[in-house]
Amino acid sequence: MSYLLHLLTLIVIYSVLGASLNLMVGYAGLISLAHAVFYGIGAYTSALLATKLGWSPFLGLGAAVVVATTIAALASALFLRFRDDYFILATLGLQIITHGILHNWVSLTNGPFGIYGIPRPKLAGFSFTSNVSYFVLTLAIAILILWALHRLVESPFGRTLRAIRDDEVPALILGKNVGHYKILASAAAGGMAALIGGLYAHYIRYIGPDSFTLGESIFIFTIVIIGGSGNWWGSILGAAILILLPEGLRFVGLPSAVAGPVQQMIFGLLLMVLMLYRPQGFVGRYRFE
Amino acid sequence: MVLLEVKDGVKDFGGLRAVNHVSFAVEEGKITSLIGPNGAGKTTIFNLISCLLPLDSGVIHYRNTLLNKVPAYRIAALGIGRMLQDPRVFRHLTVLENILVAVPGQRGENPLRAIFTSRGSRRDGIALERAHEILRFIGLEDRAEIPAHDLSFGEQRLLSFGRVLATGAELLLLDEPTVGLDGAMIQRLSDLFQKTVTQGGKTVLLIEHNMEVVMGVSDYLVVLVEGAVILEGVPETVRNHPELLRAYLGTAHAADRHWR
Repeated sequence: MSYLLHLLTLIVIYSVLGASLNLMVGYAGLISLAHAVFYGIGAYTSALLATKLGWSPFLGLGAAVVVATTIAALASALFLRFRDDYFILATLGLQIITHGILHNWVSLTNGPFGIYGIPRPKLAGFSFTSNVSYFVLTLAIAILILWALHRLVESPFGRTLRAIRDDEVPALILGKNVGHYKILASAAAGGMAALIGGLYAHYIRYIGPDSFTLGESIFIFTIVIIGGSGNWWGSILGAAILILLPEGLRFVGLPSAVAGPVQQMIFGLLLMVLMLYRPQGFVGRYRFE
Repeated sequence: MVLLEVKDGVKDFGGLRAVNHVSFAVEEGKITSLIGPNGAGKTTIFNLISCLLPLDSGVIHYRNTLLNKVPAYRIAALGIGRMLQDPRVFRHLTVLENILVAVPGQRGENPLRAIFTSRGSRRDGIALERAHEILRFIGLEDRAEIPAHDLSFGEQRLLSFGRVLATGAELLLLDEPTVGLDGAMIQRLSDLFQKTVTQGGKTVLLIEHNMEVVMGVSDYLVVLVEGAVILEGVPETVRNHPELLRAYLGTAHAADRHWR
């Protein structure tokens, strides 16, 4: 039961990561391989404030959002000088640099040893110590984030993002400040990833740099591709598939040395088959061209 | 009254002078056409006016605004609308959404307002009403809900024109709007252009190769050759001017090709 609850919590967390990245990939047409950066900034900000300065995790989560949103806005403003493939490469660079910082700035991040003893939050005398209560908290905040995302993409803002994704030049001529919109989308996506990153830190109670690697960013990107870009429901489906598939392999009885590589092979195969027969993902509206 | 004025505009691409000390003016409420053979610099002039390219020297004024340093996304708010040569509709958006995107001043374009204020605010209702009005005008009302990439090429042109109207632009820059269309669609589009000028009070600057359309709709012509204005005037005087014939034709044999 607690094992199932753990999987559900992870699915909720990765749904938000996928859905927020989808705002960039599926709506603004910005392919980022740095989403784990903002997930990690959120986790580290909230964890450090709680363990070093004794901040309440709820304040820490707020700070995490502010810090990540700001960094996402600055990074995207810088990266907008690069187009298409070069933008992807720039995000790749950001991902590698960030992991390097988390790994090597030992006085701040404790380097490869990570941060231990991250507290669970308390609210009005109630402590979210049990995994059930923490799951409910995570789910509630995730629903709020997904609701905000839904409002965003269904609004004139979301429509303009989709127009920019389809063709930038006419959007520019029709009076849309294209760069401004891309920065806003990146900042919003970064802030949302940071909020769920903070929740992850207080859930798992230990974080280290290896939770926020390029592999993690690619994993989140795969959720978007499998579920379908341009449709955030797809991200929930994608997260569920990618979390449950490897867990399912455990029950087949493969030794763990074999299960890992088999899991990677299945992901790879799934992606290839999907790109061949359903490039817009399971429930996506937009296909890459 | 002069709405747009290009004064001594110069644009070089590497060693090529694409626009060579060009000056001309566009009168409000008229259809002015830029004509000339391929490579004469017509589209480059449009890129300069719509601020997609910077001028190397010279000035462009729209009303009292100097356009030289204006970022491209501001020209729509100033009142300049441009229809690109390819329709370039937003493929995955519906026909209606294509128009809605272009309607300025919607509150929900601000992401914080989009999240926290109630949907369907009064102003967005006005935007929707305006979009339907434009769809009726261009005759795509019954196609409103289909994705734009399902429209025929001619319909995409109509949509692209409607999108420009939706910005509320006063000066419409139309770049070869009839190229690749059949006779009926050419008629439909040129009727719409004339209607926006005569009934809507708009001003049009047109690039057009189809001489029948040019002579039929234009109030004033500017003839460009190799980046320079060689001739301008009302259609009656330009039509049979020897300079125009020489510029376009060179030889008698090419005449049939260009004059269709």
